[in-house]
Amino acid sequence: MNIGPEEAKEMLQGVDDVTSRTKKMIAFGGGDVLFIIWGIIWFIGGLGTHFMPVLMAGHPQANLLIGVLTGSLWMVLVAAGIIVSYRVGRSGSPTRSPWGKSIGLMWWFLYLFVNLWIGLLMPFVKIQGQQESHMFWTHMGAIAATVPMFAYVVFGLFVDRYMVWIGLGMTALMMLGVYLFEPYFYLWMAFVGGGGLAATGLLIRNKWKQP
Amino acid sequence: MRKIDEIIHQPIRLQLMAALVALRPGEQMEFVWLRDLLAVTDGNLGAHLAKLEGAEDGRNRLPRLSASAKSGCCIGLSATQEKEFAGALLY
Repeated sequence: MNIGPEEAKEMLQGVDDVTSRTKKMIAFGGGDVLFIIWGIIWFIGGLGTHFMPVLMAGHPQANLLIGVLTGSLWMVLVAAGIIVSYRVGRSGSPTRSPWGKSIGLMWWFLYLFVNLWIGLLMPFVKIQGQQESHMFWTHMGAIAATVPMFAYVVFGLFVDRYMVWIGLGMTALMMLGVYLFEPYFYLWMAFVGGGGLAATGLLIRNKWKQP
Repeated sequence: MRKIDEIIHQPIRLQLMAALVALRPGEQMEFVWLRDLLAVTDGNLGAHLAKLEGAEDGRNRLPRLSASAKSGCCIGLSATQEKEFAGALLY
């Protein structure tokens, strides 16, 4: 069997093409669904947090109820998100890597770390009045939202570079929400943050994932 | 000039190996994703994998997979097999 120069060139082009498509597939495979899931979680959580005071208005224990219900809502949403992400990661990804379980565990530790810190700080926090309370929970929300974005950046530096830009972009948007639209931060988080994540997922699915 | 490897230099098998070489160390690719990437049928991919596993010449270019597990399993290369493939491209 002989291969001529033209045929060899074509074969090498085929190799280059499949190599670049594989890399693209690894980078974006399964990621689209995860971004959409987390976008929906941020959307529901953000809306729930923003409208909880409205729903509880007039209740004698309103402040306590708002805190408990909002905290529970986020805990349930994030825990469900991590479990669903793990399952999607296993079934929707084109590849199996030996460090897949470690990445899943890393997200659990990060989640525990954020909640533990917020929990440990609570007894030392002295909040006076409705306005201070709102600002405090806005800042806590911003921390909880930007810590996973920081993890995206770190993850992106070592694995898939596009995660760096998503992490930085979302962090910038959250900061903008805290400084410019503080009274509406959770609404901002729902539409801009959650919507942004879901839109990124759809963009990956419809454009970047194409061969 | 190197001798041509008729098993590995067939266009689909060459692309199949290129896809596996593009994986990160220790990573394996799902059968169905590999099938879609190469735009071949299940049976076609199975036949190419069998040839790379040494069904024709007994030389193992891929870790051997059990036939029953093929459609649901993952395929990857060892470091030695990656080096062999890089050598084959120098033809």
